[in-house]
Amino acid sequence: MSATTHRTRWPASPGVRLAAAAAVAGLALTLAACGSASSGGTSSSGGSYSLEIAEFSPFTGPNAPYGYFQYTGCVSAMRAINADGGVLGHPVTCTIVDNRGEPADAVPAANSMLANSPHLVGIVDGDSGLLSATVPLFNQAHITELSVGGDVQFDKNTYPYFWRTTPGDDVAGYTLAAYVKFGTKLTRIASVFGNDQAAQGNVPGLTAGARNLGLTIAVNVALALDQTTYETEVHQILAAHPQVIITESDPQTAGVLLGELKQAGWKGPIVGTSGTLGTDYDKAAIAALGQSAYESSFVRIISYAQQSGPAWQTWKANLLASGKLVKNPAQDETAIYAELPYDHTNMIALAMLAAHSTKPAVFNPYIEKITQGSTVVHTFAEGKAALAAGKTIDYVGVTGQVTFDKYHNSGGLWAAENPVTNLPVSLVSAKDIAAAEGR
Amino acid sequence: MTLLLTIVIFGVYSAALLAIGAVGFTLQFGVTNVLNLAFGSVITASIFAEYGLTRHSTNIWLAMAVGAASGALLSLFLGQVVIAAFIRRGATGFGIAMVTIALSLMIQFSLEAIQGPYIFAFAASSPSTMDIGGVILSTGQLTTIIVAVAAMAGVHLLLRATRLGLAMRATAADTSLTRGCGVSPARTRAVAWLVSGALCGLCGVLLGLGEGSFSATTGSDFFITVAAAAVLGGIGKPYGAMLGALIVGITSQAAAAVISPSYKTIAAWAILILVLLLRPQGILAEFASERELVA
Repeated sequence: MSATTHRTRWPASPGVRLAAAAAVAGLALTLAACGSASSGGTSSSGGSYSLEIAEFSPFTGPNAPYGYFQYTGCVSAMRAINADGGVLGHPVTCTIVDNRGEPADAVPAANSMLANSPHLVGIVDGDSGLLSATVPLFNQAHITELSVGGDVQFDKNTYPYFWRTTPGDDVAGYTLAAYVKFGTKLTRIASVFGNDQAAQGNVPGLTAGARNLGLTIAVNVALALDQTTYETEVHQILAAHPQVIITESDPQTAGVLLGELKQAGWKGPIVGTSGTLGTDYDKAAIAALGQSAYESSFVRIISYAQQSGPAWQTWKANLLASGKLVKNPAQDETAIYAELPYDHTNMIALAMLAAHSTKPAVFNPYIEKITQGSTVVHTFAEGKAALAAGKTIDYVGVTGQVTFDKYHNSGGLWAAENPVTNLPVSLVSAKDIAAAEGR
Repeated sequence: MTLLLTIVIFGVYSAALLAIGAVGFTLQFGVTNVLNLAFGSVITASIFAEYGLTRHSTNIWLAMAVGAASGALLSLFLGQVVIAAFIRRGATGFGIAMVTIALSLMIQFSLEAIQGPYIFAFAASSPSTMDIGGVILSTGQLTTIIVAVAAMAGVHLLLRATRLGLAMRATAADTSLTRGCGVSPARTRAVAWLVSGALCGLCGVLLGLGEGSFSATTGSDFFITVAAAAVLGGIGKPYGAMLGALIVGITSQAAAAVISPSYKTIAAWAILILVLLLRPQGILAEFASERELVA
């Protein structure tokens, strides 16, 4: 999945920032070293200390909103966990570690975090472009990591401490093809993706999926990001006479592209990936297309999360009760990239309870075991109670059933969502995705 | 044929935005000899100022007035107050460049801290468009091209037809000589910061309105291409900056069409490197001479 993915677009970053990389890295280091926004919990003095779960995400720079999604999810889970007595006598705390979404900043930030966080038990992250740089560090330190980063290299992950509850970006590509085939009945596709690693991760799956399903990729355009005009690209796209445009890019690129598509007279459907999720993308797209056109012509193919039931009700209640820790919590009720870290935080806490240990080296295998038990639980409290009663649990959180494969990857349900309401307009079935994959 | 026309028209549109910024950047450098790497953040600050002060107005004339005024004032403050203080204390050219990087980051992170790390969007509108040989151009894009041409003409007149312009050219050539000719170098430098900032602000609001949305990094992202155009033409040479902008604009559009959109930026930089290899001083500049920094 590439939702957090346009973080990787920064090769187009400004020269000023390049020239000042040391200063930026210093900022990241400072934030990391200070654990700059620990949220509640106790200090490590005496016998009780907080168990730290690090939100290793961009909190400054263009993709900072994704960091705050992560943080929102974590603090909502933290509230639920601590309200229920914490984990083995310890409260849980969510710590912001700013990686700015760039390897040059993320690696020193990761090293600093590992060196300065004696009670770090888990890492929650989601940046496709950083996984190859940071996962080895976290594994070497034996810290459990739950991720939504879609880097396709991790489809066959071999790092024992790395777990991913969303599929890789290539699976998202197959899903896009499946949606076009079975959800729209259209056949000619314009593939228009940013030229960053994360967005491009969708293209192989989309291309192969289209071939398997008898669709035509009429034109494949890789956009250089953050340009002042894409009129030449728009000309190429329209000259290929596509029936549907499939796209992912950062918000500002999208704003220019969509505006110029509209200016050139495009009125057909546009399909976005999970990388088009977020209020920033919505703002840019609405400014370009107008709200009504955005709502009527654009759908987003994204991992499907529940919007009812006990898991969602508990998530919502804790989100809304997060107080000053989360700004405008109500707007994140259906935000999958806040819901995923919520589940991830709960899973780390439940794994510790199941293993009777706060040591990652001990509880890490239980990340999988708590999704395989006989008693289905939807919340931390239910899980804690079941474990205390001696049962094995199957945690089915707000983002649904988790079933890890031997590479520590778990897929999920997919839906085409209205970009404004975030409500599903149709589901993409596993059978349709399998057809796209040629299985 | 339509593709060729698209390349030319939107190459010119890109060049128009670049030229406004590049001329502002190079004019100030030519007169003050200060490499102002905070220029991109002043672009951003001008967009934010316009967005805030006009309550998100998309009236292009109001936007340009507010953006130019904001850019001019901020630029004047940075040049005449902050940077001048360092120059008076004997800072070197490299030291001053580092100060401007610091100022750039301070402005960028301050905007991010105050406004949040979000995208800000102007209200959606349906601008009228015109069809030029099958290429659709919006009135906003046409206005940007016209404004750029007018601004370039204005800079030309300023430099060639006014005493102030003469003073600016004289200061750019040799500060010590101008002192003996009754020209106030200090006043000339202040005007250079002011004019540069106004062009910077103008560039910012046209960029913001053209893209429809912006963030705290928009100006910094754009600045690198602005600087490339200025260097290509010959740093310190306004006419060179205009030419550099045109080359960068057309090259990037042509690369997108002929090779691949992915090579857009690469092609523009390749041209820059090639030109600098053949003419290290840029297209229009004479060989650069070492000049003193004066507050």
